[in-house]
Amino acid sequence: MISNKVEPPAGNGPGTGLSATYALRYFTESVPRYEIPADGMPAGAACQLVHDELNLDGNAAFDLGTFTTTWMEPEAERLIVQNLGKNFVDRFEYPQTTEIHQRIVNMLGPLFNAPDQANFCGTATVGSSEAILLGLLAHKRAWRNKHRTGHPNIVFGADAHICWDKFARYFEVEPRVVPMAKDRFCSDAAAVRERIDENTICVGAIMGTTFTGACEPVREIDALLAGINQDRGWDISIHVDAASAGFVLPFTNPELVWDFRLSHVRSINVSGHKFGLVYPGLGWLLFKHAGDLPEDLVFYVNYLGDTMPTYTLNFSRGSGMVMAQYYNLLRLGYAGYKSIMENCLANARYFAGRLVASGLFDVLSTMELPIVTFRFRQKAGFTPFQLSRKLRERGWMLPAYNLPPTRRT
Amino acid sequence: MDAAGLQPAADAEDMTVMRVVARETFSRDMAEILAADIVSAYRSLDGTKSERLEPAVSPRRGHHAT
Repeated sequence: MISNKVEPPAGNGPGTGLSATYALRYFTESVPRYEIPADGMPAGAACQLVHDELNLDGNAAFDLGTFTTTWMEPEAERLIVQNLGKNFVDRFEYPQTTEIHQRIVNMLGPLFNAPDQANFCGTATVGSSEAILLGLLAHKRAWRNKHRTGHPNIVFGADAHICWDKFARYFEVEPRVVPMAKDRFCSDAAAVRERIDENTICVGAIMGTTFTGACEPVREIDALLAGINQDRGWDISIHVDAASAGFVLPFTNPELVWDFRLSHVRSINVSGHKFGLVYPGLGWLLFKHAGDLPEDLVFYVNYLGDTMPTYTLNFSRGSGMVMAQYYNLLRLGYAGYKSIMENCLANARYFAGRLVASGLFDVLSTMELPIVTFRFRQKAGFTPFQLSRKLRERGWMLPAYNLPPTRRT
Repeated sequence: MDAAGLQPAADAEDMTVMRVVARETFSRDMAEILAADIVSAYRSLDGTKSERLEPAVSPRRGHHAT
């Protein structure tokens, strides 16, 4: 058989049909950085440029200082992507999304031991910061509804997350901050006693501080408030910031009493995106009684086709992370969360043991939570900040930071 | 000096610490590697283990005629 030369059809000459991504001219030109380009570019080129630039970021898998989730199962990721474009607040359009939100709140109430007779309520938030701002705002409004005069104050430890200070400044409440003791990295009942008065909107208690993972003695603070409220006729309650511990302790140490079992704990926040095992962008706020959320803070919106009560700072958001939380709860169940949290604790304790055994470090954490905070045992000729940078050479991201100010005695 | 005969660490007024959050992805394997890397990095900064900028073994050793 003999084959003859075939002339290619016109238009298939050199350079005309070539569209390999890195063959495009956008890879030999500067990328528009601070102004919107006049013309766009092919999807593949734009995606590759952004993707390649972001390779300069650290690898999230080696970010060991962060509390937020860096990995989820592929099935969860599929659900997240499927629900990114569904506006979470459009109840009329997405009634099942609203229903699933309700189911999650109903799972969390009992997780925090809301009493059977309590008519608890709750909402998803963007994270624990929004949940704390909203929770404390409810306490402030409840205080204002009883006190027509006076300037409100709030008592919390210097170990609290920065969003507590943010609440105080944004919502004009005097912060009465308990400094840390030299050997104790959280607040306590005696220090709270010195700072509360009739204008205290609530006392904050942190379960799992970002500094050392310490859990504050909520039970003692609850007992203190029981006595003083009775004596003085006050009605000071507690907001528990369980951003870190809220998805750990109910599984690893359910006997520890820190939650709605305590009569003065009226509101709790927890981060879905920490040990709730969901990617960043999800927190939860729960009130023990629907009445703990003053009615005049709830907005009823109906222009989207249905009447819906909302209590949020932001309105529109995607539904992906809420669905991911539901996925985790279904997928893992109580037993699954318990196994994962026990693994985390076992590895944290092992790691802490290795640090101590090296003779170079002291561990400050009490290890109730899988959080290991450590310092140099002896003064060294370099700082933890330098050690942090040195470890970065290997890819590890471990923050070095200063503890909050100590009490001067 | 504390009970173990060690100098107290940095002044508590300015106490600098480091943190590891053992999330679900922090496996035992990762804990072992990280612990070893931290000790190694500490010793390297401490000068007790000087970093070699030149290879300890001649890269051409295998080519030496004997």
